[in-house]
Amino acid sequence: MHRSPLPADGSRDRTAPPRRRRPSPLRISTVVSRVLIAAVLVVQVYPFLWLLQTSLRDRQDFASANPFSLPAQLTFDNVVRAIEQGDLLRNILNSLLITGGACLLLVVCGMAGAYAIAVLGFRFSGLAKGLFLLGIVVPVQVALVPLFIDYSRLGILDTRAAVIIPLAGFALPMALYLFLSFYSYIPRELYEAATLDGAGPYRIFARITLPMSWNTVVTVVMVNAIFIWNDFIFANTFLLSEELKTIPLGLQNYIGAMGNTDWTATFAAVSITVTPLLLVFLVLNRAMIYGLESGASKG
Amino acid sequence: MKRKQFLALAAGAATVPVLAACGGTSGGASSTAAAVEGEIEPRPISWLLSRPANGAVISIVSALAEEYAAEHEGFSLELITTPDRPSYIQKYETLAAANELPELFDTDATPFAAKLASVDRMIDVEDLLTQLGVIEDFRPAALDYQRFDDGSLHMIPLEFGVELFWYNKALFEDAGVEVPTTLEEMVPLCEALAASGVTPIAVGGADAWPLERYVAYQPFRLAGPEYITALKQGDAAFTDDPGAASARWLAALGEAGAFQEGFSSVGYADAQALFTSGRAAMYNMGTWELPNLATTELPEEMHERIGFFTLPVTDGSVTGPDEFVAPSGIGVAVNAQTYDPLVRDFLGFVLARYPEEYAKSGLLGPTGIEPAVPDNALPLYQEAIDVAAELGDATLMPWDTQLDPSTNSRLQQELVLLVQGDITPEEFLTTMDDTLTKNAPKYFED
Repeated sequence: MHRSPLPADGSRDRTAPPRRRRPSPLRISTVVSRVLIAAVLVVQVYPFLWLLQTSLRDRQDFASANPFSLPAQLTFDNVVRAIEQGDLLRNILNSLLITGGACLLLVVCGMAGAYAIAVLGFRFSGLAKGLFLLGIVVPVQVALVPLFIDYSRLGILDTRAAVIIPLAGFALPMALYLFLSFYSYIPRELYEAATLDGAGPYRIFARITLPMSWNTVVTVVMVNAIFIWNDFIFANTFLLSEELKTIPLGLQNYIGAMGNTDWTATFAAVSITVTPLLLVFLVLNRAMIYGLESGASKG
Repeated sequence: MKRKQFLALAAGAATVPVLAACGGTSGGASSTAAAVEGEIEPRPISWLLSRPANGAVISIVSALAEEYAAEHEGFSLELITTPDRPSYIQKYETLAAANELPELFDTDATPFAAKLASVDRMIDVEDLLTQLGVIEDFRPAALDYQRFDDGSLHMIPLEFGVELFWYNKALFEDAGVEVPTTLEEMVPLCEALAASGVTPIAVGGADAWPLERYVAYQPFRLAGPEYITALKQGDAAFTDDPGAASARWLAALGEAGAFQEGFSSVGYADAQALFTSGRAAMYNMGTWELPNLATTELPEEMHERIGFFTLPVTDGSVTGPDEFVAPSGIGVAVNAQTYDPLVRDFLGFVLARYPEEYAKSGLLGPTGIEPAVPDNALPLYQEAIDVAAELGDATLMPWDTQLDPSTNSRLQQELVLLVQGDITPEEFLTTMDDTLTKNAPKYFED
């Protein structure tokens, strides 16, 4: 009956004339923002399109003509060669297992550690926090040889665990930091109320902290999954057998004598291998938005 | 225990200069190692290697290993492949530091490998090959390439190639120039070619080593292979005559427009395409590319136009026109700590059959066996192979396997600047001598 939120139908008319009187600033800002969006889109999407285009390009054509020009003709030879030369499916599976394992370990340890430091609190918890954050500054390279010796003693060299553990370990300080800052937003009263209701620390973790942290979990996974997926240095050092090679290692199979690289086959392989990551990224992207919408601040 | 061994390696590395000073006497301890005796107990062994995953070497050795496994139950050869050289070196050095090197591993005759050998981590291969009775089969040049400065041999060559200057006869004719007989002549030659509108020399600058070959040419001609041996230890300087001549020559080449625009970022395959598509007049590359450079793989119009010449000499050259770069690729070292009758027997089996099998691939091999020239080869193919039969005694060792890593990477950067004309030869020489005196003594004496 009355659509009262809007004062009156006339209000629209009243705002219209000034818009008509000075249309240029509005239009300019719209145009500028659209151009910017388009520019960002081109910058973001163009490399991917170039990758796809090159992977369908004839080898000689790519080598002799301008690499940025459009292909003279499309061919699927590169894809065939990429699959014949490499061991793509196994590499993808290995990358999935290692990325999944490392992310799981990272989330579990990061969440539990932050909970202990921020929520439970203990003597020297500040020191513990400081030590964890100190881990951010440790460069990966200095740890390689000691880790290698330790893993070989433990007998886990050349297993997926040998890559999962350091990958999760080196990402842990940052993850812990994210969880810590999120936990500082959870009102203390929530815990007090739960304690009064008779919940112990484990129950509080399982029933309150964990469900509320999903958005942080997604953020941590999103930030780290790409680095872990693309990791080269740990995989190259700790994995020896062909069966365990991840995608970044597998891509080396296209390098020929004295550095003569089969680029078009490499591009075809890259096109195939980025797809799972892209899918995961798109799924997590939506999940993160859902996570933010149903976050703690609403409850 | 392992840590102790690591420390032993570090301590051993510190004694390198002492051992090097002793020269030939250091071979004593390991020479008995090659003569290991006892029962052959089949077990899986590993080979850490840095070779193209689909290359002839890998496929032949794997096939031979399978044959061997059929006769020796329980034996298998595990391949740990890392074709990319920098990643390979990182892995190999980590494994060496952790004392986890497998039975067989690939290595160039680098200072690092020399340290490993000096602490008896690699067996004396000269001894092994002699005992197996195959040493006579190998080309002397192939073995020399693998030797350390003290003349000891710790790596088995599995490949061999001679490096040639491939050129486009038609482009030479158009520019009215002849094949150069001296290195100095290459400067006006490049000027003339550049003036005729083509790229004089195609070089894959992104890979660093193709350009680094050029810096070694003048010193090798003027002072022989001894110059780099002295230079890398800091006993000679870049500012000495051979080095100075090299810097001036490279600057002159750069000024003559010898290399293509943006050469420093051009990759291996692109540089080759520049030459095979007829847009560059010269291309300095080894015989391992014969299947791509001297067969019908080439574009039709190039078949008649392609030719090659060997490294020109200089005035007062101490090395002959038959002496130049003839690498036998990355070698295979045998881990002394895991060496046993099985490893010895397996190597004997492989080395007896390998040369013949490798020759079938059509590539020049480390032994004298003639390769099977493929059906689609141009006449040039055989001519290039014949060059290898007439090699002289001196071998030009590529500098990237000789210098310490810090000096080497600095040299690669400075070379680009020098050729581009961004720095003068004098600046280049001073910078390089500073880098050398800072890094070489530390690396070779610690």
